[in-house]
Amino acid sequence: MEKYLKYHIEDIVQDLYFRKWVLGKLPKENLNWENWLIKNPEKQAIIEEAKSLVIASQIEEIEMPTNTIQQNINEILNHIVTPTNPFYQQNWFRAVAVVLILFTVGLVLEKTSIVSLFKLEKTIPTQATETENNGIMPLNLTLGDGSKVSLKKESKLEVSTDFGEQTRTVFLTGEAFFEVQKDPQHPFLVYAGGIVTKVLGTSFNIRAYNGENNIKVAVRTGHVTVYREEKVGVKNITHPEQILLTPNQQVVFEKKEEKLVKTLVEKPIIILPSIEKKSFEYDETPITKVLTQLENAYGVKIIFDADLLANCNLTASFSNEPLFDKMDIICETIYARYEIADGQIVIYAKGCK
Amino acid sequence: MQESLSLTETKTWRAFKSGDRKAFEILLNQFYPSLYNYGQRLVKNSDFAQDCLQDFFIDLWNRRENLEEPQSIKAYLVASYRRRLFKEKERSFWHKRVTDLEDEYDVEVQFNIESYLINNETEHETLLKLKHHLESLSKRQREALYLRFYQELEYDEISQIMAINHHSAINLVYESLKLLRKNWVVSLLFFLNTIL
Repeated sequence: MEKYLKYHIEDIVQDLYFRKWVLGKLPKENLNWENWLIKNPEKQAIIEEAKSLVIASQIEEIEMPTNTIQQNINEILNHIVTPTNPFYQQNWFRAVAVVLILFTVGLVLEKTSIVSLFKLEKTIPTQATETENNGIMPLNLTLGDGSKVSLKKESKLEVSTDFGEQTRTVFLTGEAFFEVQKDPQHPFLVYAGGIVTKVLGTSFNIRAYNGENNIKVAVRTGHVTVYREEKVGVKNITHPEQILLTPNQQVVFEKKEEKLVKTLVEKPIIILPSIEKKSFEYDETPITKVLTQLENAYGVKIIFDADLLANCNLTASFSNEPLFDKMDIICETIYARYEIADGQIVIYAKGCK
Repeated sequence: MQESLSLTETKTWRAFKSGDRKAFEILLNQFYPSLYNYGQRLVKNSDFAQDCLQDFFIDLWNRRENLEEPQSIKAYLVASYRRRLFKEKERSFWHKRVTDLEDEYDVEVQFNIESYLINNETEHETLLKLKHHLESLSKRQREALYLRFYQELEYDEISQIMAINHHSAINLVYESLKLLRKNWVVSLLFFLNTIL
């Protein structure tokens, strides 16, 4: 409640928490304001004045006929037309389709051996074209499908010979930024230092230098799946552990422990272009609203207890400072702290009074 | 841990946009009463405001696929409904110039204390002065106070609804508060102590 010491009378009058108290909407056992006044007796006069302003500017209710309102709502609901699904979205059609597909698959499997089907997927091309960047400046490449690769210093990219047939497979040592053309039929696969990064169309960065202890895959846009490369000789038909990454998330692969850990990139960027131009200006804005706005702007999930933060407000104006600086400022004002876990920001707070 | 209200609001909005009747019903139950209250205050003819609101929501459903995803659903709905009210009114008063319309609108926002003064025909000199000051608040000031205190909206929402900039919205509220404070508070302290 320390913020109220700096408040002008007009600010106090508008404060929701204060208004609730004056209008008797706080639970009886809540004595925060009474205690605050005992602690700050010099504020007695200003609080009295604010109190009478709240009472005086209380707006008179008008008649709200509950029955009419409910009737009107029902009338609207009766009036609207629910879209009927086209035939291919209806359940009977789906059921028939599934049966037909299973039947066809059964026929095909009978003619080809199961082994050969799985083999196709595992074939790792041996013959490949190779590009090496020994300079200091990044080397920009365009692949056969139009995807762009910015190959960083001392890095090497191999493009498999069957690139574009079943999959679009490349092999990376070092670091590169990928902007992959969308093509859901042909997944784009990057093999780097023991892990495979699979995308359909998106942009991301991979850092996999031989001399470093870990490998990092960081996502700029879209979705990316990362999993461990299967060791030669280990036949494992079930899919290995896959990690799904969304924008501003990254996965770190510890080479020694062979463990994939999901986290956030060091400097998350704003993913919504519309917000980019807009500054983050807050004037007594509920903290839950601020967090939701940041969540949408950066596409990063922020987990918090909305009930606990219900009384927390923020007055601040943010511009281009990094997301984590913004989080520091927010947490300082609401006496909270945050941690990054599993690619999300988790806020630990005590609540504001 | 639980999701914030606005997160579930966004989810409801998206479901509504994709044609989910249930989501639309949730939106109706949540926002219809506020919009109803607002409409009744903005237009003297209450049937007109009600008809307008019915059409507004049916239209909202029909246009759902083309709607944006607003920062604040409440502010978005209130602002669109307000525009529609004025547009419909313009149609029914077609002979009048458009510029007159904003002046023509009513703001039925009374303060509790006003009606107390009227009902009790209080004639104390300071209270008469008080009543006079209350009556001197402009329509826009009343509307802003209503949106801020009754509908409990933020300033960026108020500015969106009243189609004014953020700063003007703040000013409308602060100026009225200052005016009230300057003229009222002394008499009010006295007044409140005698009647409450």
